[in-house]
Amino acid sequence: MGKRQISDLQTSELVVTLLISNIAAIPMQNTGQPLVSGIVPIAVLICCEVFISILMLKSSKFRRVVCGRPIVIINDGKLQQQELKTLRMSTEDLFEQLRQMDVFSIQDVAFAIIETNGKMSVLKKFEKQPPDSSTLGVVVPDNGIETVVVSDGEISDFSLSLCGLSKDWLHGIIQGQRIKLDDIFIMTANKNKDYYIVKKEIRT
Amino acid sequence: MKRLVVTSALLASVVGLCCFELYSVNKIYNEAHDIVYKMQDDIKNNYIQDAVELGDELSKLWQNNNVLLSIFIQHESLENIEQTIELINTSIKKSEESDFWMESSRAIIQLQNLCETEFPSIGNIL
Repeated sequence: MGKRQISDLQTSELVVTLLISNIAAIPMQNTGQPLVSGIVPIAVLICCEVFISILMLKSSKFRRVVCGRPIVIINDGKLQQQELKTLRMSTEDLFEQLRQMDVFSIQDVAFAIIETNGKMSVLKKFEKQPPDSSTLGVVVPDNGIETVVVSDGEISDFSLSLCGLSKDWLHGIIQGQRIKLDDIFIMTANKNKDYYIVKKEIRT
Repeated sequence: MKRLVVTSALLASVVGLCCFELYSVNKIYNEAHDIVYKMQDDIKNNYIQDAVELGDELSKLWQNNNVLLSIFIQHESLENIEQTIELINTSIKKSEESDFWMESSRAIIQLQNLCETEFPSIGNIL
């Protein structure tokens, strides 16, 4: 299942999660029940889940059987009423989900797809999409990712390497600012060596 | 690939554990079952002293394996069998033959149930 949240889980994964939590509760509640009687089915369910996820990666047919397929409910601006009926999705549900996607008029939507995990993906009509830098012909500087290089006085080597920065650079900045490392609450930086420092609040 | 190997190892351990459980339960069932039948024969032939010795042997067998069995089997059914074994021994020592026959028959049924419920047959799974 990886690091996905409950809302991102496939139906089969959600069922396995619920089953595991229920089975784990049985030997905890009943002291007369041996722990092994809970551990064995949990281990079997975990194994099944891993094997199924590997099978789903390898075979698209198997994946379709287990997860289903995404369903297009608005196709080229046209509402697919039959698909809504198949999904047992009311117009209120549709508009609620559209509003959650910051779409307040159905006329703005070119495509709306219900994904296999139940979430809706929306593509707005071309004329309703906000212009980006390439459309406007504006060159935007690439600052890379901004990472937290110091958190609560502790240097993050991983974040520094992610930005291609060194500890020497960091110590140089700290000395230049005339502050101690322990006094820094958060320090962020990017690959262009732009940084931002938040000092710790002094308790009175 | 790493996850597949770990999962396969986990599954193999679970299967191994289940096989070990089946083997242990079957072995203890056979031993206990034989002792109870021998005790019944001894009582039938009026060899009371031999039956008393076999009763002690049965108690010892059950006490030695109780910890192992309680890892896999519901404690309630194990306690029931333990009580029945104690009642068998008491009835022989007090020469209460009718109680002995009743308790020994109950012990055989309880042991059979224990063995049958742990066996992975289609009936048990469904």
